[in-house]
This record gives sequence, structure tokens and C-alpha cells, in this order.
Amino acid sequence: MVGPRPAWRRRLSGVQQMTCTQEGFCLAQAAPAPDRLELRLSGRLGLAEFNDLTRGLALALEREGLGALLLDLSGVDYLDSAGALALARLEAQAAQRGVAVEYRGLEAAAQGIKDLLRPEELAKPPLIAPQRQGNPIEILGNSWLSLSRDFYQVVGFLGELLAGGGRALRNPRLVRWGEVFFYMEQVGVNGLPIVGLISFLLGLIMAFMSFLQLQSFGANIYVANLVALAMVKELGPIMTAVLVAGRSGSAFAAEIGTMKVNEEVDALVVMGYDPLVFLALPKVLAAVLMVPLLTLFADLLAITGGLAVGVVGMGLTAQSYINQTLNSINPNDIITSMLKSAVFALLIAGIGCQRGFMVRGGAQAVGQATTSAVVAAMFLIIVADSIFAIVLHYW
Amino acid sequence: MADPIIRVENLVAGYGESVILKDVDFAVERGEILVIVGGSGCGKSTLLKHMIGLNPALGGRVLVRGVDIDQASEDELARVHQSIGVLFQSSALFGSMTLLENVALPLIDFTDLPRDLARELARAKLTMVGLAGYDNHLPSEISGGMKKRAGLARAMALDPVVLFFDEPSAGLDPVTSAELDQLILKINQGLGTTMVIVSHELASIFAIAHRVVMLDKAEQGVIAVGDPRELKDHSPDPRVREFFRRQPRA
Repeated sequence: MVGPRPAWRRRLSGVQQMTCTQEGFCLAQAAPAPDRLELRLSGRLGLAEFNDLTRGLALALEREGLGALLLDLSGVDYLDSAGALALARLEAQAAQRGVAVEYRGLEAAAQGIKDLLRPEELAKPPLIAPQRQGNPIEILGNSWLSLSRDFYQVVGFLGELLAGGGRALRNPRLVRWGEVFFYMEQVGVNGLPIVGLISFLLGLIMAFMSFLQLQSFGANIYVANLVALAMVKELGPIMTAVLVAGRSGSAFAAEIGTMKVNEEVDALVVMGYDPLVFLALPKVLAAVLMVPLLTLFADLLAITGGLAVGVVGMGLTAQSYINQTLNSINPNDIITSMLKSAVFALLIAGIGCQRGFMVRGGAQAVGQATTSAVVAAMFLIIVADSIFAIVLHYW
Repeated sequence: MADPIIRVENLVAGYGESVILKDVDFAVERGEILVIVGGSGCGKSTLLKHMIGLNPALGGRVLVRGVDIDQASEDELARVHQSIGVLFQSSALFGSMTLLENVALPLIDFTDLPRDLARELARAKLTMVGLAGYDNHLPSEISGGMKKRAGLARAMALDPVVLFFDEPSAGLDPVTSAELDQLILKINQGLGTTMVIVSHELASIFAIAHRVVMLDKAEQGVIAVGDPRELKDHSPDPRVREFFRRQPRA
């Protein structure tokens, strides 16, 4: 910044044209010879004036047959890096046109600012090209490649996780049981209210909608069968898994991802710990133990929702509704439901941890890992459920 | 001498109920490089956060260009924030944006410049800090020293009248640290920008500081103000001499 200089709007001799902006600077032009132009700048040459200044200087340079340009800065009150850039641009454009540029009244301070912007540095092209959007085939190919890589990594991670589990089985002291209980509380106990509420409402809605259809056949009592079978066999495990993926899978990814960014995972490695056993195993164990219990709870609450509709809306007795429910399901259904839930839990917690370990970079990468953990977990839940449906049908 | 650009008047600094500094009183003159020094945990960064309006004062006040930043209206505070630049300890570059986008962001949002001119000016800022050509790099793709430089380029985007630095040399090797010191001096001399720097790197302090304000944890306040070269040999307070001579406490 060049210090203030009073009365900069002084009279300029031999000036042919002078333009001033509202509160910023004045640009006076004089042409002592046909191939020579003098530009006298006065006032402020800062960020607010940058646009007008670059335009004014570029226009002056378009003069026919110009060979030399003298820039008189003796009236300039203030010059910052934006003003210096405008001058540097002028020099570059003048060089392209073969016009020699000379300065007058360039104070040491202003020279210091100009020196910060070396023309050869300004002209340097970017070292890497900006990321561009490829053509649709390229995008499709890249997506397919990324999906294959992803699948390979997930399978590899789940394999490592099972191997880690095996090691922990041989030596239970490897597992940090305090952490396991902590995550059991996080995944299970703290998830009870939301899982309970949604399941209860789901049972209620299912019972009500099916009642509207079944009442025309006088088959109200079968509402109990529908609710119980649908919940225990399919909806209970899936709904619980989706909720756990949203609550806990994302939290696991964010937690491990942030630890990656802060180099805490690297610290574990150099301290001789296996990050997988230290960080992932307690989370996965907790999820595998708690999600089946949550599913059982969800089934119970959904049946209670159905019971509420049955008793209040359909005129059934609680006893008959419960008897009908118990007749429609058998212990094998419940065991299968819990087994399915355990597999879903393994996938949710595993993918959450894997996405966390994949984080590279900063906050945005953590966000991407969290989203990806939830989306991938839901996809895997549906795939696993389809496999269960086929296997259980033929078993 | 012109009015000080920043006045800290009887400031009580801290978080919530916890008071870290009491009765802090000093001024920052236009164009000077003032370094806030002191041992670890003495409240240097806390004081800086109060000066830039991130922490409300528990007592007293901070005036930046005559505006009490705790009493300022939203518009006044926005104007104050646009007239200052801050280089955070971790550089605080936005990880999802390239370096050019980081620097161009305030130019696009807070000026009337056309987008191409704003980007050109952002490139110029990167050039000024020695990062010409790194336009399209993401923060995760550059070293710690380069991040500091890029953070400085973003802090300088709107040609602020005051630049604040929180531990600019932290985590840098001596050569990179010396280069950053040189850059700070160049900007101060070239653009006349006032600089307020939090640091405890003695080499940097002696290289760049015009004046220091020294804080002390036990005293919960300022124990010395002045030229570090003078304070090193002539301060009456042994704590100040020990600090600048890098001696263990007596």
C-alpha cells in the first residue's frame, strides 16, 4: 500500500483524454508522438478499481501504430496486489503487441508490490489439468471399474475381518471388551426407541391396510397372521437393518474416517496394534450381538401395533389375536429371522468400518465415506435378503 | 502517529465461565508486525480468537478499525471480517475445492468482479505466495508448507488491511519456516499490511517482529510489550529474558 498523497487530482499538462471513475482512479492519456502514448494514473489502484482499470488499460493499448507506452504512477495514492496485477496484465499484453513499457513515478513500495507478481510466474500453466467430465462411455467404464474395485475391497476386508475374528477367538484378550459393551449400548440400547416406534407404527399400518381388504371376505382374524409373518420373516430384519445402517453404520464410517484423517489409525499401526482388531472388531461384534435382539424387539412391537388395531378397530379380543399370531409363526421362523439379522449386522458394521478405513483427505472424504457406508449397506442387505429367500425356500 | 488499527481494552478472555486472560490492554499500529508470544497454554490463540471476533469478550472490548466487534451489527461485523484475513494453524483450506477455488471464493462472493477476472486475481495471489501452477491441486495433494502458503493466499484474497496468523511456523521445517517469514515480511513491506501473529518460534519472532506482546499463564495477562531484541537483554522481568534467551526457568 502506498501512503496517502493529498490533492492527487492535479492538472495534467498536454492531456488529450481523461477519464475518472466515481471514487477510484483517473486515467489521463497524452500522445507526444504518433507511436508513443503516455498514461498518467492517479488515485486508488485497488481491488474495487481492478475491473475498470484493466478495461481502461486494455483500451489504451489498442491504439493504432503504438510502439512505446509510458506509465506515470506519480499520482497514485494506493496500490495493492489487484492494482499490481492490472499493471502486470498490461505489461503482458503490451509485450504480445511489441509495445515497450516504461514506468515513471514508481515508488519503492509500489515496486515491492509489483515484484511480488513476477510475469514469468504469472504465465506458468497449471501443473495438473482441471478435472473434466468424461464422455458417457468413459463415465460408464470408470463406474464399472470402481464398482469392481469396490467389490474386491469389500470382500477382502470382510475376509480380513473374519480372520481377525478367528484370531480373537483363539485369544479373547485381543478383543477390547469394554469397547464391545460400549458399542452394544450405542447400537442396541440407544436404538430401542426409534426401532420400537417405527416397528409399532409399521405393524399398526399393516394391520389397518390389510383389515380394509380382508373385512370384505370376513377374514379379519388373518390380519394377525399377515402382520406376524410379514414382520418376523421379512420386514422385521430388513427394517431393523436399515435403521441400524442409518444410525450405526454411518457413525462407524465417520468415526474411523476421522481417525484416519487425524493419523490416529497410523499411530495404532506403529504402536503395534492391528487397527482391524482394535477398531473394527468391537464394532462388528457389538452389532452382530445386538441387531438380532433389536429385530426380536421390532417384531414384538410390530405385533403389538397389529394387536392395537385388532382390538380397537376390528373388535377382536387380545387373546384371539395373540393365539392366531402364535399359530402363524414357529420358533424356526424366529431363529431364521435372528440369523438373517446377524448376517445383516455383519455387513452393516463391516462395510461401515471398511468405508472408514478407505478415507483419504479431509472432511469431504469423511462425508463421502459415511454416505457410501449407508448406501452400500442397504444394497448388501437387499442382496443378502434375496439370497436368504432363495436358500430358505429350497432348504 | 495515526490511530491504532486494533485496540484491545481491558479484555477478559476465555471460554464460558473459564477465564484465561485478564485485563489485557494493548494496541496494534498500522503497518506493524506484532507478535503475540508466551509459553504453551498461556492463551495466545484464545486472545487471537477474541481479536477476530470468534470468541465474545468476557469483559472489556476489542476495537478493530474503530468497531467494537462484540457490539457490532451483523453488517459492521461482515465489513470488519472482509477487511481482515486469517491464516489458521491448520490452514483451514476447504478440502473439496482446488487451491484456485479456495482463493477465488471470497473474490467471487464479495466483489463485483467477473468470474474470469476473479480467477485471474486468485492465480495472482497464488503466484505471490510462490504457488504458481498449483491452481488445480487439492489441499490433500500438497505439503504442509504449501498449505500454509495457500491459506495465506486465501487470507490475502480481498487485500485485507490486517492479517492474523495463528502459529504460522508450526509443523514446518526450518527452511520452509524461514521462507514463510520472508514472505510475511515481503507482504508487509510491499502491501503495508498490518500483521498480528501468534507464535513461540524464537527464530521467526526475531526475524519478523516489530513488537511483541508477551503473555504469561500464571499471571493470566500481559507481562511485557516491546521490541523482542530489546526485551531479550534488557527486560526487568526474568521470565521475559528466559523466554527470549530460550533458558529453562530459574
